[in-house]
Amino acid sequence: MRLRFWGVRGSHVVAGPTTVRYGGNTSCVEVIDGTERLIVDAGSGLRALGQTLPKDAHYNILLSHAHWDHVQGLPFFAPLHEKSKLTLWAGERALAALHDLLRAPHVVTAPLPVDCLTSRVTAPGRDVIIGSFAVMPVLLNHPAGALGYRMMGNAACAYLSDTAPFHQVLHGDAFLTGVPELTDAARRELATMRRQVVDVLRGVHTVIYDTQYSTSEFHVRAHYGHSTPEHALELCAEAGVRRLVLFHHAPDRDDAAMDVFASEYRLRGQRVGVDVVAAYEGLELVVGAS
Amino acid sequence: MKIRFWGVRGVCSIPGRETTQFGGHTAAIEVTGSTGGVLLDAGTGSVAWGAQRAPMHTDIVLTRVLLEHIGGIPFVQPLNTAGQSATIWSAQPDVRAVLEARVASAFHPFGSLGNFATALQVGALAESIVIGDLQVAFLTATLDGFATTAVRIASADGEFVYTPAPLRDARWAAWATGADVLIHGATTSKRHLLGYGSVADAIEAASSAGIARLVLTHFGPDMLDAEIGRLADEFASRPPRLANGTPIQITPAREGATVTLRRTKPNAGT
Repeated sequence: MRLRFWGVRGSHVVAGPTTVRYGGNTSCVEVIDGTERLIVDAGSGLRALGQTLPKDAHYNILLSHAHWDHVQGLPFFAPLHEKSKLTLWAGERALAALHDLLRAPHVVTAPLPVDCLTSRVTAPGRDVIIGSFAVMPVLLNHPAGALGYRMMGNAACAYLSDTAPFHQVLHGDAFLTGVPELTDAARRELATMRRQVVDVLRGVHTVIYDTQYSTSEFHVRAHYGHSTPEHALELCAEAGVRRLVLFHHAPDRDDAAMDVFASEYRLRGQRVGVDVVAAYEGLELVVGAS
Repeated sequence: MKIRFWGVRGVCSIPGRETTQFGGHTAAIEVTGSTGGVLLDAGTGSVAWGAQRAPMHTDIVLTRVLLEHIGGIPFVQPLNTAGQSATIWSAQPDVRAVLEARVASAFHPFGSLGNFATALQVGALAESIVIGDLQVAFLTATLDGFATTAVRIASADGEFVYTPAPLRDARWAAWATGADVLIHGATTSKRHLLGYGSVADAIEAASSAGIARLVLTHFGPDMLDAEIGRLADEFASRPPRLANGTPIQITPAREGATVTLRRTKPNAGT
């Protein structure tokens, strides 16, 4: 199994000379297992991926959720403007929202052809088979909900983005302007989510995780729905994960700051037995046996 | 009057090494007069624009409501700051619904325009508005089914016209004539692209209105640094001419570059 990163940025695209090494495109990862391909999330990185792919094939895209930085590349996925077909796999609400969006006028000048797209619902705890991949969705803690995915082929990897940690804020549909008081029921729900995430990660070699914030950034943005490398490392160490890929980088973290960020957490990962890699556009990783 | 480019791309943002010279962000042009200022379009370039200013009131004019004109809105700091106000102007009758859809909870944590910390108003464009010393006039037409608003801004320093795409409207020449500068979409240099204009369209628009200074912007995915640079060199050595023989000075817009209009002095370069 191989991973190839086409978009690693969170929130919104950034361009310019100070972000060219890590890249400014939003979330998009290609997972290749033998001759099978699964695309995870359709951020702006999907456009460049589409330019490398055959124009008359069938593609599968797994969506974590429908926030713009995870779907904005869909209208620009070139194979769909040729003869290709696409199956979108996502949670029910995300699919419903996208169904309306992709057909709405005034979004882009060249909307996707209506007959190129089919949709399949993914739900937490209900595994699905996509080609040679066995995919297990797991609920994440993010505004309006998001799904993480474990993908098993000849090896196992997982994609957990976007998610807040599982101890401070329980995200739902409501817009939050700060960190609300946690009820006992919310604490129990968060504990269940955390346990399910750790269970899904057991036996996984490589985890791609939403680590948008540094610890200091998280303290002022704890209600935004994103995590830190500390949170990710804690879960990976507990689940026995071999490699953590830092992902969904903050848009205002330029290449120089990313170097420092990556270096710091590489060392912290070594202390708990987890290899830490910061994702960048063009990065390819071989997923080994765990 | 100073015109600064924060985003010069049409269609979609294109980060990466192939756009570091002219820029990879979508449409955003800041116009600053003596007593008024306005942002034309709120593509991803508007995020960096918003990060370096803290006005009490922000005016944004949307020339279109396609993604590349509104994609930055949820991340523009002056639109999400308590105690401030902003007006988003558009000729599109359903602009509020379009913007609400952009920030609906499925697509963004805000969920609604009402959750922005800034007091947001959405204003319908009439023929003109006044923002400080800036007189802002509009001409709206439909290109390939997409409503497009051209903006003409005048102050004591001069006048310029901006449109991200050709209007192909009989009123264009008379409406744009007399402007000192035309900033025009040049989304493609070769093929026809539905809903967009080409470099040739931009030159035609300048020629028909007799404007001798043309700034190309709203570059599409095929217009990367190498192609834009090639065109700039070509036009510098062999500029097209107006009907009266005057050469048209053509320059590409570049993120961070400014055009300054001063009636009493020759115009500065981009």
